[in-house]
Amino acid sequence: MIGIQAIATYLPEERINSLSRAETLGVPASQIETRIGFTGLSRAASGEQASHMGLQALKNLLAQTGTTAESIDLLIVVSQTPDQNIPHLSAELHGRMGLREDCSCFDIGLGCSGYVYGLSIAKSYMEANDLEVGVIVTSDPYSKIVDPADKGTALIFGDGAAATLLSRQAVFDIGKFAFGTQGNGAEHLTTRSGRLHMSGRHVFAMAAQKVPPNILESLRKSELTLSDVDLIIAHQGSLAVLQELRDRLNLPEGKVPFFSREYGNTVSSSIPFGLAGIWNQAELKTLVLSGFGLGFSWASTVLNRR
Amino acid sequence: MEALKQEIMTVAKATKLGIDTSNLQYDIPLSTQGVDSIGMFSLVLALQEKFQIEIPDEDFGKLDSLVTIADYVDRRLRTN
Repeated sequence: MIGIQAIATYLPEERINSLSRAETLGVPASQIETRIGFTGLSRAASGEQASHMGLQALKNLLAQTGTTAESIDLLIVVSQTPDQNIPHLSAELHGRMGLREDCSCFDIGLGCSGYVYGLSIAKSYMEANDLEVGVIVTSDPYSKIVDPADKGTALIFGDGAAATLLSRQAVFDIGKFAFGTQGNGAEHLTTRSGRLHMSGRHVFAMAAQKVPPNILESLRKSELTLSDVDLIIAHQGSLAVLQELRDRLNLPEGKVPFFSREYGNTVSSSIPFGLAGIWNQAELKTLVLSGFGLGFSWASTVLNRR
Repeated sequence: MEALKQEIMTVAKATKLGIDTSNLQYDIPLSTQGVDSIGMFSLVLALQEKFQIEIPDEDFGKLDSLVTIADYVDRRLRTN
């Protein structure tokens, strides 16, 4: 059975100090500390695009695991901020890494739910086609589309990338998935003239109302309940969103951690960053991953440590 | 109306407004009392769920105090 074998991440070195930026935007420091939650935001260097970040994460994964580029059968890239729309970013990474010609490559155009969708697609695609080694790269340099003067978005998003290795030599088995879409919410988190526009009110309401039942549905499909779960790795929308999810699921802070304070909401990479962070904590055996965001789109699944 | 005001105060105090709600005032703008935008998102969502009404964006910005909210909810419940 295909599962998750390893994860590697890449964060650009530069950080925006959110407290300084908040002062410029007239946002109280207390709102950063206790509500939005991100005291720092990682920033891609000038000219550093999704391909550069994704490539670095992929190189880190190969170095970390000893996997060779030649062994990769499948490369999926999840991104909404690729360098360009044509061609697909996975083909660009394929070329730069010198992957095999019979390696299957495609992109998934989803945001913060994209990693969970990617896991479902990769697992089922690999099992259906007898593929042995698959990689999901997530890479979103949102700083390219955020207006630094927009207080609704300028204090939230960080740039980052991750690469996840899937194979039969898995550390985590992947359980059942639950998905959801609310297309009439599309206008509330979108780009206009290349700039990101977000209605915080509607994004908050979507997360509060849709994500808890979606998590419970993924557990139900895997014949589990919340009491079986050691940790929920939820998309890091903001500290306030995480607090709302905890309240609605009646769970303590430690069960639904906010772990991205120093680098921000990295969109499609936020969940793999969380998973990488607890990778070696062997006592955390049953996990839920839950991604949610623009579309609106949301998805959850269960992981079980072997 | 008094009962509705009490209900709205109860909802507000049960919501994560980001302030100490023990001295929450009806007639002082919530922003003056320290409620930030995220607190307003939480409060309006809680009101929608409590009273089973949809509060459109054009009305959201007008709800600046608990008195205003009580009047608004009362009007919406009467017209529903």
